[in-house]
Amino acid sequence: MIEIKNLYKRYHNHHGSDWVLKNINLVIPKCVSVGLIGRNGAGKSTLLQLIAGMDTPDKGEVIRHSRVSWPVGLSGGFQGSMTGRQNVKFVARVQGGSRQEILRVIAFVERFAEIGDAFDEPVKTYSSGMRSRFAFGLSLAFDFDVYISDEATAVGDRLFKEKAREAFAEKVGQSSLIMVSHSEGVLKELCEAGIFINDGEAQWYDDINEAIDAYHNSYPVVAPINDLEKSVDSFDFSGFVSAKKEMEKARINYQQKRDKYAQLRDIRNERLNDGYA
Amino acid sequence: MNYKVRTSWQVTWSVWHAMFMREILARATGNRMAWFWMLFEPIAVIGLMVSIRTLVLGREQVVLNAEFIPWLIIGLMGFFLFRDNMMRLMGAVDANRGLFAYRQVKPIDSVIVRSLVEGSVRSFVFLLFIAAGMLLGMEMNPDTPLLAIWAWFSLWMFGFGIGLTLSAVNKLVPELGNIARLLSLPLLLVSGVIIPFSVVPYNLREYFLWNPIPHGLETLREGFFSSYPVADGVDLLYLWYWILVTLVLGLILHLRYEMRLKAK
Amino acid sequence: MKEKLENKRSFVEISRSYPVWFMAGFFILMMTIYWGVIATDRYVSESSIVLDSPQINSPSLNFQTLLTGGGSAARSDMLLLRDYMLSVDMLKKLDKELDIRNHYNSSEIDWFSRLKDKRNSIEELHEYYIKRVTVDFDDYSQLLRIKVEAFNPEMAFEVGTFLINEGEAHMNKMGQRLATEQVDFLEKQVKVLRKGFDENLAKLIDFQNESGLVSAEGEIESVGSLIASLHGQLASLTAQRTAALTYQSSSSAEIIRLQAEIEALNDEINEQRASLAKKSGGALNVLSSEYQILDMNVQFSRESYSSALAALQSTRIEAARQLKQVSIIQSPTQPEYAVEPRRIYSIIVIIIITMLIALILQMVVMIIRDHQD
Repeated sequence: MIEIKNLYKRYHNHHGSDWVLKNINLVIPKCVSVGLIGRNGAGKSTLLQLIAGMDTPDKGEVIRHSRVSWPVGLSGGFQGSMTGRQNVKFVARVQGGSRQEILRVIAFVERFAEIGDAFDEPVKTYSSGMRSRFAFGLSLAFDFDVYISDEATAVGDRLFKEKAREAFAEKVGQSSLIMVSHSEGVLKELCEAGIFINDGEAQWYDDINEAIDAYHNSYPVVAPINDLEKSVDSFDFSGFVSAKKEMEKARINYQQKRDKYAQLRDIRNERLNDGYA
Repeated sequence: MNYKVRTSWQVTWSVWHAMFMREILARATGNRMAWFWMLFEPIAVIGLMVSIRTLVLGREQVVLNAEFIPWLIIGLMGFFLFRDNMMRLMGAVDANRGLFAYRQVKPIDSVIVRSLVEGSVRSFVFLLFIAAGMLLGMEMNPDTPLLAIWAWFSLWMFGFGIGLTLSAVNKLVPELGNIARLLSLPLLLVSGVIIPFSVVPYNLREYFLWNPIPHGLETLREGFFSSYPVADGVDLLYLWYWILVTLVLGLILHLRYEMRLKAK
Repeated sequence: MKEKLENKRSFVEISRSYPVWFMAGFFILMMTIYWGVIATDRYVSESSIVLDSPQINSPSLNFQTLLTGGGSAARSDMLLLRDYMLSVDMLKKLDKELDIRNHYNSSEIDWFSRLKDKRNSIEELHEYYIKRVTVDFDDYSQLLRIKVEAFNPEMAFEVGTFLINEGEAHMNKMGQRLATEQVDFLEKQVKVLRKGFDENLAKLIDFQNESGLVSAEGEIESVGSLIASLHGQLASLTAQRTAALTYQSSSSAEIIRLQAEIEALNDEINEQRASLAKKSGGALNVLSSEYQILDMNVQFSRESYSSALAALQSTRIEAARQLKQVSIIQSPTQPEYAVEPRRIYSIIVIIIITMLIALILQMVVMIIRDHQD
C-alpha cells in the first residue's frame, strides 16, 4: 500500500513557478497495478518519481508501506569504472540481505542480462543495448512489492523486449506495478486501476479503462476549445474533428521526438557520469 | 523470498555498508599511484625537511624532548588526515552522483562513507609508518596512546566537518570550493607541521593558534612524547568548537539543499 | 481544565517526539543547577615573580638562539623553579605546614570539586594539587605566574606566599650547594698543600744546620776564588824566583825564602782543593745537589699553595654570586571574592556545546530517518 497525502510539487525556473502537482491525495492498494495517464507535462513522470522517492515533494508526503523499486531499467545508477558484477553487488547490498541473497541476485542478473563475459567488464564499455538489458535484469532480480516503470518495456532489441514483457507479466502475479506508458495497449494489458492526471490534480479510477476514457474525454472540454475560441472568431465547427485528428498526429509526432531526445540525453548523461567517476 | 520493509536504521546501515565496500574496493584497486603517493609524500617531505635541517641548523635538537623525524612524521600524518578528508570529501558528491537514483542513497551518505574510508586508510598508513619507524629504531611508540587516539580522532572529525561543509558549498558555490583547494598548501605551513611552534615569535603565536589544526597536532604529539612541551594556549576544546560548528553547518546545508546536491 | 490537560499531554508528547532535545534540556538544567547553586566558591590568589641573580650574561645573538628561543640560564632556572613548585616534595611541605589535604578534603565542598581520596595517598593529592595550583612560565616577559585556588581566601593567600618563599629558598640551596662543595674541596686542598710546604721548608733548614752551610754553592764559590788568588800569588812568586836566579846563586837567602814561600803556597792550594772536594766528611758537590733538590721542593710547594689559595678566594666570590633572588612583581593577592568557578561562563559554554551536540544528533537522526525503502 502506498499513501500519498496532500502532495504538492513545483519546479523552480526562471519564469517563476507553478504547481506541477497540487494537493494530491491517493491511496494505492496492495497488489493493484496502476497506470498513470495524462497529457504531456501533466506531471505523470513527476508523480512517478515522487512515488519512487527520487524526488521530494514540496509539501505533503508519500508513505510507502511496502518495498518499492526504483524505475525499472534505470541505467543512470551505475558506476562506469566498475564491473557489472561489482555494480550488482553494490545494489544488492543497498537493498540489504544476506550473503546468499547477494549471490542469488548476482547469478540472476548474469543469467537474465545475457551479456556473457562483459559482466566482468567495466560498465562504461557496455553498448546501450547491453546496458539496458543489464539494468532491466537488475530491477527484476529483487522481489519488490511494487515496481515503478516509466516506459520501461520500450528498451532493447525486439527479442529482449519480448523477454522483458514476459518477465514483467510474470511479476504482475506476485507484485504490483505503477507505470507510465503512452501505449494504451500496454496499460490495458498490465494494469487494473488507473490514475488520470489533469491540471496538476489526480483522479483515481478503479478500472484502467475508465481512466483512459476520462483521458480521452478531457480533450474537447479542456484544451482545444478554449484555445480555438480565443484565436478564431468564426470557427467552422465541421472542421473540428479533422483539426483534432491533426493535432493528435502532431502530438504523437512530438512525443516520439521527445522520447528519442530523452533517450539520447540519458545516454549522454551516463557518459558524463562515467566521466565523473 | 519475502522482503520486509526495513527500518530506516537498517536501510542506513545497508547503504553505508554497500558504499563503504565499494569505496574501499575502488581505492584498493583503482589508482595505484594514489597508494604510492600516500606512502611517498610523507617520506619525500621528511627527506626534504631533514636535509634542510641538517644544512641550516646543524645537528642540534630543534624540538625539545622529541626526536625530529618522529615529530615530523606524526605532524605530517595528522595534517594529511585532515587535508585528505577535506579535499576528497569535496568530490564525494560528484563522484557518486549516479547512485542517488536509488532513493536509499543520499548525497550525505557518500560524504560520510568517504570520510570513513579516508580515515581508515590514513590510520592504516599511520600505523604502517609507526611500525616502520619502530623497526628502524625511532621512538615512535605513543607514551599515552589514549590521548594520541583521541587527538587523531579529533583531527579526523575536523576534516570530516570541514569536508562535509565544503562538499555542499562546493556544489552550491563552486568558487568557494576552489578557494578551499588553494588553501591546502599554506595551511601546511602555518599549522606547525614542519616548523616547530617554538620558532614562531611569541607575539605571533596567538594568531597562529586561531587555526584549529595545530591544537590537534600538538595534542597528538603530546600523546606520543609525554614530556613534549606543548605550546601555551593549545586546547583540544577549541578544536572541538570548530568540529561541532562545521558539523552543524555541513549537516544543515546537506539537509536543506539535498535536492540541489542530487541534481546533475 | 481541559486546556490544562491538553498542555500536560502536549508536554509529554513533546518530550517523546524530541528525545534529543528533551535530554539536552535536562542536561542543561542539571548543569545550570550545579554551576549556579551547588558549586562551591573558589578563591584565587595570583602572583608573578622573576628570578634574579647578580650574574650578568653577555647577550649572545645567533641563528641558533633565535630558533630555539634562546635557552638562557635564567630561563632554565625559572623552569626549574616551576617544576619544584609543582613537585611532590613541595606538596609534602605544604601539607605539613598548612595541612592542605584537610582543606581540600573538607565536606563543605561540593562533591565534584572536592578532593576525593579514598586511599589517602600522596598521588591523588598531587593530582588534585596540579588542578588547583597552576604555575605558568610566561616566555615573553620571562615571568612565572602562580595561581592558587583554594576554598577560602586565607588559604589561597598562604599557599601562594609559601610557594614563593619555599621556592626561593630551594633555588638558593641548589645553586649554593655546588659552590659550597667546590669551596670545601679547595679548602681541603689548601690545607694539604700548606702542610707540604711547611714540611719541605723544615727539611731545608735542618739540612743547612746539619752541614753548617747556609748555601753549598756559596761555599764552593768562595773556596774557588780563594784558590784562584793563591794561584795568582804562586805565579808572581815563581816569576820572582826565576828572575832572582839569573843574578844570585841558588843558595842565597832570597832564593831560599822564595822557595819556601812557593812551597807553602802549593801546600795551601792543595789543601784548599781537597777541602773543595771533601769538606767535613761529605763532598761539597754531593752537598750541593742535595741542597738543590730540597730547595726546589720548597719552591714547588710554595707555588701550588699560593695558586690554591687564589682559587679558593675566587670560588668563594663565585659562590656568593650564585645566590638567587626572587623578585616579586606581584605579591600573592589576598582574594576578596570568589573568582572561580566562573558560573555564568561555564553555563554558557555548556549550553552552547550541548545545543550543538543536540543539533547534530537531531540532524543525524533526521538523515537516518530519511533513508527509506
